[in-house]
Amino acid sequence: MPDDMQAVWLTVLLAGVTTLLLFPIASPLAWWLARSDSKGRSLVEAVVAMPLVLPPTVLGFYLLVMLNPESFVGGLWFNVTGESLTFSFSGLVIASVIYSLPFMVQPLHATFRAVPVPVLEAAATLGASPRDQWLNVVLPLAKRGYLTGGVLTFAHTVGEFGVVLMMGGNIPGETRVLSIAIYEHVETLNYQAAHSLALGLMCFSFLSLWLVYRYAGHRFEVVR
Amino acid sequence: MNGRRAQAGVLLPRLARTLCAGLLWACLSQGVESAEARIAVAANFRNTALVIAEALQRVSPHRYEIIAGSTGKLASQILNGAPFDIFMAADCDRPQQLVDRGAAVAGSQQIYAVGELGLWWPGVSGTPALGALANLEPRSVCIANPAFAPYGEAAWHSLARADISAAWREGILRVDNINLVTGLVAQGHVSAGFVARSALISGVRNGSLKVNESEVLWLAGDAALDQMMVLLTRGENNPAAQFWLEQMQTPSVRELIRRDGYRFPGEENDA
Repeated sequence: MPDDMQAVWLTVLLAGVTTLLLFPIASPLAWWLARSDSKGRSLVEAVVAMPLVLPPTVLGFYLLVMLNPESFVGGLWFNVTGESLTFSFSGLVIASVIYSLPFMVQPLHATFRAVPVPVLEAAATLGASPRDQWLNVVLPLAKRGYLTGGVLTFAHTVGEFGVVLMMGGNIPGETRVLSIAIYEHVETLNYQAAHSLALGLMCFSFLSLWLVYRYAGHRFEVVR
Repeated sequence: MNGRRAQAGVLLPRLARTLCAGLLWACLSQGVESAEARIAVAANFRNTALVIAEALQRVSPHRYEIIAGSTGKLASQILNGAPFDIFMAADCDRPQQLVDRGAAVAGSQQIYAVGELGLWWPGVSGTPALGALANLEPRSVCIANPAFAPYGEAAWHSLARADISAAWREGILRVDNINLVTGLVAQGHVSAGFVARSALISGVRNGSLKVNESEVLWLAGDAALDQMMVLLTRGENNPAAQFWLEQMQTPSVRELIRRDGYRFPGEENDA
């Protein structure tokens, strides 16, 4: 059971770090997608959405190839830190950021598109700099998108399995997240422990989605 | 008064045991640097490795983490940078491949156990026979995937030797590792499966399995598996890894291995 608590903590840490990293990464990307008329926009949209349809094994395989110590990126990381990116927590964070990107970008994209241009123009006429407009107009109006994106990204990262199995393995305290712990309990006939963790994840997933529908669906309107 | 005496009677031996263990630890760990090692073990050896790790942690300052999986998968993970110090495989090929590819230390290979494969067929009338499997639906017979699990590979060869048609064999259910096969047979999801003797012994011992000896056909002669361990290059300077390697040859650790149904090279099976 202490091992399971470690897996719970590791999963929360991974999901938390991934969500926090995705806020600043996804925000400019979603803003550009919402506002740009560029011909390349649909191309970028397709690339961002790919983890939604790709089998996790495909993503896991390419990450394994790209991040292993023999590769350019993995070798660079290994030379600097002395640790391998594959089968490590840092590697899982990179994988999770890529894998959960659409879950953050798409809600933000939808919210940003709903921010009325005249409101921004009015703010500009009143002397608000682009930074002021972003902080004082866009962000408050985009609360719903951030809440939805945050909850969905966190929940999706908690449920990751295939990618972790491919490039994280099953190392306690490093890559043994909840889904892997459940898999191991089933493998070793420890069904009771598997039940406890699986039921916990079921409840968590339900609560996350309920939170999104309950609050993000009604309370935070983009424009009141 | 009697209660106090009885309490003291229980506490004193416990105290003496604790002191002895403490003294032994202090003697053994004097001048020994404490370290941690990650031991990647073949799925069939998982339970035994956990017991050994616990025993070694009691008599040394070292800490051990056991990571279990099929031999082929673990070898692939090691080649892709997995941070393991020792690899305990269920065959001899993979450790040798790691040595050849520079991921393991040449000369550190040793056979730490000889495992045994069996056909577990609950509810069969009479002793199970390999040839009779062909009367079952192939989907109701389970093996570990021969592509990356040595026990599965041995099962595959046993089926081929029993003159079971290739078409039937192709339809057989393959799963990730030998522990999953035991679970699927025990839960009744499949009619029969090729399992490790060690899995049945430890399962019966901890109460998770009920096995009638007459339901198992042991394939000792055909499918004895030499299980090799090797020091990985990452663990070359790790005192905990070195200690683990040394301890594998000691009588106390060998007894733990033997208790779980393994033999050692050159020994006859008493089953």
